[in-house]
Amino acid sequence: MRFIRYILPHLVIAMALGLLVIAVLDSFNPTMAFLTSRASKTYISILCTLALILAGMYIAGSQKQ
Amino acid sequence: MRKKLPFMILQDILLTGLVLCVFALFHHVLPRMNPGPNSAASTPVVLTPAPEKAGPSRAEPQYETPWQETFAGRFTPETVVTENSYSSPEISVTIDTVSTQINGEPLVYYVADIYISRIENFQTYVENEYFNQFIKTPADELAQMCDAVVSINGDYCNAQDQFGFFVRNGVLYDDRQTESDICVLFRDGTMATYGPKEYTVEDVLARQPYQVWKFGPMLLDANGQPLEDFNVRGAIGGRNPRSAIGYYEPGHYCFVVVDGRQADWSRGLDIRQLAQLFADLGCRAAYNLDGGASATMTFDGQLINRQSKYREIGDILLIKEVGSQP
Repeated sequence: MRFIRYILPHLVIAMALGLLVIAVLDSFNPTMAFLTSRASKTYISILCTLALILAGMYIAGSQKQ
Repeated sequence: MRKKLPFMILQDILLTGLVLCVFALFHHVLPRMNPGPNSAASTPVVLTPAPEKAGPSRAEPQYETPWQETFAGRFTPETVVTENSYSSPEISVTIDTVSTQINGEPLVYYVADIYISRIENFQTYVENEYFNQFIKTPADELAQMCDAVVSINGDYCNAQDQFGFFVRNGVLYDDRQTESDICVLFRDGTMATYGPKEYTVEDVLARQPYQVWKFGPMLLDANGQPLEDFNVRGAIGGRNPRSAIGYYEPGHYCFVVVDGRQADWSRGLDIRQLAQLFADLGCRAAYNLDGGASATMTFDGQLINRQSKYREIGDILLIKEVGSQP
């Protein structure tokens, strides 16, 4: 659990930065479907799920305090 | 904490790189290794042409098709091939290579002036029926495989997960409307371009489309003048190598390929300049296809333009002999 608390914020940061890079690539070449492919949609779904979990953990932690 | 902060930043940067590598694995590498049905691919539907209406017979019985009579001066009884032209009873193609300057920079482009006697002479070939973007072949090999008299690269219809309104050689592969402009070649030989809000799939299908391409943008307005605004985004609008098709009248078309990204040879054209080129050629409609390093034109099975860098392609528009096949 401690490991998850440690890695989750960093993973969300890394995936968010990665999505920014992907969005920039998509603006240069839309035909490569960097934002619309199956892989991209899965990536975005995973990022959203991790962000929700992270937010939930933060709120739960704040409540405890 | 101060000592830990640089370490954490470095760790996050490395983790970002790892995440992007994993994304590239699933977005590029694995699909290339496992080409299979595109998620957008549906069961192809052959669009059966409407039966010809009975009417007065042609005055000149030696002509098999109305276009053979209309463009009689273009065709020849026997096949004649020169360095830059091809003529036969079915097809007439003349290639013009234009070397000029624009804004003081070199520009080289190729115009294939095409007359055909039947719509089946104008075909599209896709390397893989699953429309997989990683199945590609050199342009000249594709042209030889198809016995193309002249060919240019297509609309990159086999891009991964690219759905849209696709008709190839009278076969409907996908009927989903998108935000892209489309170009339709109807069975009666007319060619029209449409913005995303200017057509419905049902209306187009009712008019017997033979080819529907989806890349864009369309270049000319209804009067054959360059558009003011183009439906593009990203780097597509800038100066690039170009492939595009133009329409004059049923049976008369042109392929245009512009070399680019080569400072000593040809810088390429932006979308406005490309539209102006087609207006100067006198086309009534024109449509931009996939350009960049994919911009290729072949004549008699040989690549005639200079690609900005070597790239294989997955689909071509071609003109070929079909004999008296329907």
